[in-house]
Amino acid sequence: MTSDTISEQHEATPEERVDKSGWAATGAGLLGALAMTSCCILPLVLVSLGVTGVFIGQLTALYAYKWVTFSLAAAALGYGFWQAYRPVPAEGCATGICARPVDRGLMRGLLWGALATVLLALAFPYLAPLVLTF
Amino acid sequence: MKQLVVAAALLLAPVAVLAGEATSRLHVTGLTCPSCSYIVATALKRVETVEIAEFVEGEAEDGLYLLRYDDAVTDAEALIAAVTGVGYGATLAPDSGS
Repeated sequence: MTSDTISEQHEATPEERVDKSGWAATGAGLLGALAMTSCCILPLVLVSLGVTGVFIGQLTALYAYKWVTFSLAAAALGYGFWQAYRPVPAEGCATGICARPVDRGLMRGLLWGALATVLLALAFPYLAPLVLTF
Repeated sequence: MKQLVVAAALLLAPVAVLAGEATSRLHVTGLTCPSCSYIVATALKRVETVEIAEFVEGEAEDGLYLLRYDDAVTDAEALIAAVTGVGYGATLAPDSGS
């Protein structure tokens, strides 16, 4: 293996590393949003669709950990939004071509969806009596 | 004509007796979240003829459902099974049944 070959091997640029951590934060934010809905929206939707099982009651028991899941989701979403909307570093444009990740739009869409889900889950206890009936 | 009406009434009478409305008070435990009472209500309403007349929320993550149903179609055991089937505890309240 020559030194030329070694130099041609792809090394992750700082931009790519940041991009990966942004996707990791987006994934964590989505998982956090899912955890937020596991109590209480998801079980209600499942039962309304005809799903039954003891796990429904076990899912709703997660309500006690609401603020733990919210904290994790908020931290992940905050970092994800920072990654998705931060300005491109000046050195990334040194060659005249800015190294902007091509799929930032998808990342932003997922983050906004996760944020909306988390906010809905937070507001659910106050909305439920207004929209649900026995 | 009068005899015809009497005969019809006699024929329909057993049906009316069979299709009796019963009420039960079901005590449900494990209502730990804001949607739990609605989840249990949805499971109960899936049982044929069951209607929820009233729900009284307790103070110990529990609640009392006043249920109306046709006891020719379903019974209290089916109501309890519907609630335990979604992971909550259910017992008939002492003054339940009619």
